[in-house]
Amino acid sequence: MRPFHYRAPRSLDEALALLTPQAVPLAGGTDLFLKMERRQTQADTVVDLKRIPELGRIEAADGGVRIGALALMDSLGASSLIAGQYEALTRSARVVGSIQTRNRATLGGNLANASPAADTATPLMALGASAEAADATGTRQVPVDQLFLGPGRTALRDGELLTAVLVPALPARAGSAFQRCVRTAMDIALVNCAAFVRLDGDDPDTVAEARIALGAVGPTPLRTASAENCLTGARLDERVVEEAGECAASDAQPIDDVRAGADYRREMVRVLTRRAIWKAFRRARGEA
Amino acid sequence: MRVVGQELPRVEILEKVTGQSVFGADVLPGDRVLAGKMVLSPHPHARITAIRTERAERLPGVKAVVTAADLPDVRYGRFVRDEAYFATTKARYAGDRIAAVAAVDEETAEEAARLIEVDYEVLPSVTSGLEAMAPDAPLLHEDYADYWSQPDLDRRGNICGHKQIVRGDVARGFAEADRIFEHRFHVPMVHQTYIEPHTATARFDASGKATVWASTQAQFPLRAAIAQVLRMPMTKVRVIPTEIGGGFGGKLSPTVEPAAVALARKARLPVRIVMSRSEDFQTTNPRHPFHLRYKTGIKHDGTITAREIEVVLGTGFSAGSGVMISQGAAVRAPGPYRIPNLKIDSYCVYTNTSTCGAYRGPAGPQLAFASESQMDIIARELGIDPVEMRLRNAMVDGDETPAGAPLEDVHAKETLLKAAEAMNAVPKPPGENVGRGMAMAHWLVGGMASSAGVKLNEDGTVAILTGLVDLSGASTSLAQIAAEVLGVSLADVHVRTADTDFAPHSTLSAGSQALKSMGGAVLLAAREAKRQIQQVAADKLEADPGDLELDGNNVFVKGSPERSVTLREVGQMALEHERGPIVSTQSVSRLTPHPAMAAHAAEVEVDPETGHVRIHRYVAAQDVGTAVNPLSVRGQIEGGVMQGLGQALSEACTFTDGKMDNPNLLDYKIFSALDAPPVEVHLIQHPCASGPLGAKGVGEPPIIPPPAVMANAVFDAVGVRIHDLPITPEKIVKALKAKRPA
Amino acid sequence: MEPPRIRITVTVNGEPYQEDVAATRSLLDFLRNDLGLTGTKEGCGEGECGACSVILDGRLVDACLIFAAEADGRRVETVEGLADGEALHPLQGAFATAGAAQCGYCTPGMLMAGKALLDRNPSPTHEEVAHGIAGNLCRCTGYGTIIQAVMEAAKES
Repeated sequence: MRPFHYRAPRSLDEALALLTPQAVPLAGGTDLFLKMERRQTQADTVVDLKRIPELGRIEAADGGVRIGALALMDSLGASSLIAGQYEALTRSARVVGSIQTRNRATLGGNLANASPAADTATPLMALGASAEAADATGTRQVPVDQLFLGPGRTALRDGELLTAVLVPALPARAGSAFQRCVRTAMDIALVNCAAFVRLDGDDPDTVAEARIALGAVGPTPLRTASAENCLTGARLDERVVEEAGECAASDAQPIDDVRAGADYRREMVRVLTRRAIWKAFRRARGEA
Repeated sequence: MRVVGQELPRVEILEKVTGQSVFGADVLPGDRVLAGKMVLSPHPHARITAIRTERAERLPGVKAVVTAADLPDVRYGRFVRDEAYFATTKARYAGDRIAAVAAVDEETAEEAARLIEVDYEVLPSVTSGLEAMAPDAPLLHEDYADYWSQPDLDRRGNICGHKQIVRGDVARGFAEADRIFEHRFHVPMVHQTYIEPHTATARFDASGKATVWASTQAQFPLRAAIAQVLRMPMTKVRVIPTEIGGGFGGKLSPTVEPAAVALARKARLPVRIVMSRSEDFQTTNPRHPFHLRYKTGIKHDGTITAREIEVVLGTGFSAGSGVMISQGAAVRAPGPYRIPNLKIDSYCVYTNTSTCGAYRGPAGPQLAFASESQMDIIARELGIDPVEMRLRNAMVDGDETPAGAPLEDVHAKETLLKAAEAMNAVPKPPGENVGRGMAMAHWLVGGMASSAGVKLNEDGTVAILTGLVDLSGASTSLAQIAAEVLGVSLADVHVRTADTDFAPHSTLSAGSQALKSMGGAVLLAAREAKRQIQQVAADKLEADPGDLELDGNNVFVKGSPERSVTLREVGQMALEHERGPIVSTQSVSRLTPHPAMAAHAAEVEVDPETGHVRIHRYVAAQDVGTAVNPLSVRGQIEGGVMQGLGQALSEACTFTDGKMDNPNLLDYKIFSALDAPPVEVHLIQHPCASGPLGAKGVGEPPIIPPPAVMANAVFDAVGVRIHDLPITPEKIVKALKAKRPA
Repeated sequence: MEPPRIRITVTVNGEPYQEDVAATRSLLDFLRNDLGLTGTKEGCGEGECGACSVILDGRLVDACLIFAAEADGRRVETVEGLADGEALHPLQGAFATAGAAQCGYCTPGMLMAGKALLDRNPSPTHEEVAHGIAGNLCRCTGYGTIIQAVMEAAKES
């Protein structure tokens, strides 16, 4: 590993001051450590964020939830503020890696690492969440579905730190679900899918609003507009859900790699999208 | 029996649960140990035109760099002398050894390794055994015809061994058949994936003696290999086997040990090399990939009339043990069945990969996957119950192997029926996509040269001295055997694995024969020690030695237990007795092989949309002879099943352009606790005439049936037949789509 | 650049240690090489096998993916701290009698995973134990005896 300076600031301001272009922020380290070992980063300074207490909090905010970037996957999966309201997010946080990983990995790290397969990215996109980015000049919000630019690349600017994720309040008659497909139980997702469904106030069979996000089937986690359009305003039945699955499959841009072939991934997008929609639908109706 | 047959915790268990066991990387041979690092070829096949080490040697902190130039010009190999320790003119796989460096710390060693410049001319490569047999395939060893080899190997081009077995007349057998079935199967390379990577620590002292601490299953062959590669007498090489963090046949051949010695000699300081997981995946000795063709003739009643079998195993860049394994494959290919007409061709073929080795039950899972999948296909086609069809053809005592060796203690039918009965004891739950499958397989347990010493201490306790590496509870079982013979409890027996300088010769810990071989030697030595004890005690008790019995740490006259002397007294008396201290060393060799049978059954549920296979139940029946320690025996079977299931469903080393795609535990998928089904183990116990106190070999059989069991169960569940391991969700979904009407 | 070093204070199995370490030092190498606590093993160095599992401030972690510097001011528990003198921890006794350790290489990490689980959930179900040790790979046992041992230990403690 290339030598580096280790810094552990106690406040956000201190951290932002340290985050020069030669510095890299360290959250849980489950991805960064290996990148450094493989010399995939050039940083000469590592800024450990874990000593900044406010970054780790999960708290109610504006009817929704504000999740500090340093919140652990394990805390996220166990949080009562999140469970019951944002099922897709709870579910995804509980399946990221092993317990050892969930005890280190953070939400901010999972997003900033910008893996196309990041399990928490698709639920946050489906739930309409935004990332809060801070630098020495102030903070701004970036919708999570605009955060990812490519594998390992985000819309964060130099010197900017992802500090929190803001998940808006779950509307009435809405629900979400998360599905993933893996080779063995401990695995990175071959495909993951999160669905958010809000039902019409007058007709509980009709979808008023839908967001579907797919992971590991493109250079970034992605929204499938055609599947969402197919659901919006439609009365849910087998045919509509099947069609949404087909739409999602055609929006996916999977590749062949050592983990799975593109054909299988596309097929799984169809299956998981269908399953996620039905689950989200039942939750929206208060049935699950 | 008092001690044999008891479920006793392992003798070394306290060190293991407290973290005190010393494994390969835990050895401290001095205050200062250099870090060693291998330099490996990135190309699967390339001519080497230059190796420049100067920049690495000049890097501060570097203490030694070695290449082929530092070693004598030695080619080695038990069957074909086709391997040099360091590549000189050609690299033959991505991972071939080019050089090694030693430096003050790992970072410096890694930097030095990067500074070694090698000029390559890349050549076309081939990683499939079948493709490597083609006339226009890249030739790995241009000079193969000049290599020394064992006679009768029938070598041609990339083919470094061909074994043919013919029994009866297959043409007549097929003519007599009512139906003939022919299928092809493929099994990819899989890796042992022991949790402790290969490691070696070496020290070279002023007298020119090398001491090597290694995580090895075979300390004596390792000593011989180091001595051969470095051209040193065996008295100048001492191998000390550390506690071993799993081997499964992957730690039988030398890997980094000779390099560690060469570096320590040059640096004049101890050197440790620890393989990274990636190096371990790419440069050790995994299971051979197989291409198989099975053609079977059968009567309407399910009687097999003939089998014609062709297997091609890709051995990697050197023959290694591939020749032996391909020969063994020919003998076991027909399965545990009596088949009058056989023609078997088994080819061992060079490929541009690491040299494959003897992964637990070598050739077993590959052959059984093909053979037992086909048995299932045939039974379904003929409308015969698969159990019934196997029973009709199963081998029995007095039958012969295809090579003509007689078989005794077979128990194939009983083992098969036990597995079937255990599975059928619970009715299959209703519901679609649930299926059951079974398979049966055998392993032939040989025996190898082994010696053991047994002595009685002056306090009446017993010590066993062997050179057997304890891979899977062997030490405990050896102690149980000695305790049984000498009438003491397990706590009174100390068993110790000594190193190559001090231990008498030992078999390697592999092939399910460690206990058979070393247990046989311990049994003989304990019996001889008992005879000596009787002799000494007889004088004191004024009785005939033959009338004396040993039990409860006492020696007493048969029928008059009050006429007794304690073992402690005997131990002390012996020092004053004319015959002297009680100690015996005994040897065995050339033991009669015995078959060991395994029959497994499983119930699975397949998600037809995702292809995911969930194993509801798994039953393993095994014929184990006398279970010396049922706790160890069950543990071995459960673990073997799990490795077999990994090979069945998720494990494969895959290659693109000659390089391994997945040399890491993220993409090489072994089972975790969440993937592992509970395993119901049923032991069939009939003392085996050729095993110590009736014990049979246990370790290999359980890994052999699972791939076939899964293939058959998946077919039963959703009606698709996978001929190519592993049976991944992706393959199931693809097969289901192909089957569905468009 | 000279490798920067950092002074850290870490409590390991109740003992405070103050050491100068390179910033690049992993917690695993710190435990094994600087403190000589070689009970904790390395199996992959990539956070996949769990052989290096230790408990850091009450949470089970892979020591191979953590910088020693990150442990400054924190408490680390390793396999060496499980037994109380001669008295084995219930998990150690249960592993011994159930046959839950074969080669023993994954055992230290498994024991720490078991302890982390039981510290949080004193009477886990079979499935909860399987989840609790899912990040620890074992190639010898097939996991059944390990799960059984953790459940036995739960009954005892």
